Amino acid sequence: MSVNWVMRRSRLSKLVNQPGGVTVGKALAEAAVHTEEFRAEAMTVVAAALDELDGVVGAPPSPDEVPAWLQRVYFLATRISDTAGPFGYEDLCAAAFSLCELADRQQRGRALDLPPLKVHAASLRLLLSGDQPPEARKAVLAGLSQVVERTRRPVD
Amino acid sequence: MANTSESAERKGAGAPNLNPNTVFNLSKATVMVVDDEPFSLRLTAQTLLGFGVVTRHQCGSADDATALLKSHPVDLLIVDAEMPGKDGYDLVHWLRRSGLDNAWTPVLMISGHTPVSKVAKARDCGANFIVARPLTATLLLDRILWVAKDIRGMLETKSYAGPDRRFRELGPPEGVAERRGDPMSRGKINLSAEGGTTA
Repeated sequence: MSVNWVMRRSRLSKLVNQPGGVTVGKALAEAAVHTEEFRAEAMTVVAAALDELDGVVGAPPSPDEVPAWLQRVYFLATRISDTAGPFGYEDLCAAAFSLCELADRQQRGRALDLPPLKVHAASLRLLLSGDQPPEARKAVLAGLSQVVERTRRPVD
Repeated sequence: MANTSESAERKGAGAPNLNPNTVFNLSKATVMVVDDEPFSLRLTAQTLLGFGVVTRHQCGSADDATALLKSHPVDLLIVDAEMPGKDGYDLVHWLRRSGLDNAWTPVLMISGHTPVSKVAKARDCGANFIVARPLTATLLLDRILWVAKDIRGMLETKSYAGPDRRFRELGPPEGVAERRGDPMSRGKINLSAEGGTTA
């Protein structure tokens, strides 16, 4: 088998070491300033995605709609996870990631199991409200983990 | 590979290890961000602005990125893995075999959740690193500095084009512990040439 090797230092590696620049500390502080103004918008995007998710899981699909329906659930879960993540909403992110896993698994198994999806949507709503103490949020995530684990065997 | 890196990162391995006093310069680097989510696209671009990146191309689709990559030099590509239609994996796979000046541009692939159906695609696409979301500013900067230090050779075979995935004697980036329990085999390989072909 022929292997062609390309040994070339990237331009990025040269530029990054050029004189001038900033310290990591200053760059992160600057980035925090630039991104903080997005926080409120992020929460609006998350809330809208969660509203849509509630609507989707509240209207189960007909059998031939299941793949597209699960894809929509998956997409909304990724939107929540991707948007909330940079702002430190780790619990929300973890719950959305768990929903991604579940929706992907059901897509692969070609079998719709609605209750665990509904549990995830309700848990995301709970976590978004932010009213619970850390232990309660931890318990919610542990519960979701168990729900996903229970669905693991038939597909994997 | 994607799932391995994600699960490892979620457990803390490969966590950002940045020294706040380290100095870097991205002011002359041209960075392209590709993400179908307009909010994430703007957010990543704003984060890069904080890092001092002046030239930032923002593309909402792989097709837009393809057109730009054909005509503009890019020093770093940050691409969302999951996009409708042509996804991030497809884009990088195409880029590595494009023959363009940008073909070997360092690539950070951003992945939230990698569906099992795409794990092989993720492994073989040719990205330098796959970064698991949530994408915080700290994580992004850490991985940019990783990729800037990435001195692995690029290889092109019939089935794969991208960085050498074996790491060989290079090991992980400085200051980052190997995730494996055992040391990697440190094979000998002559990479002194500026480019070459090994049969």
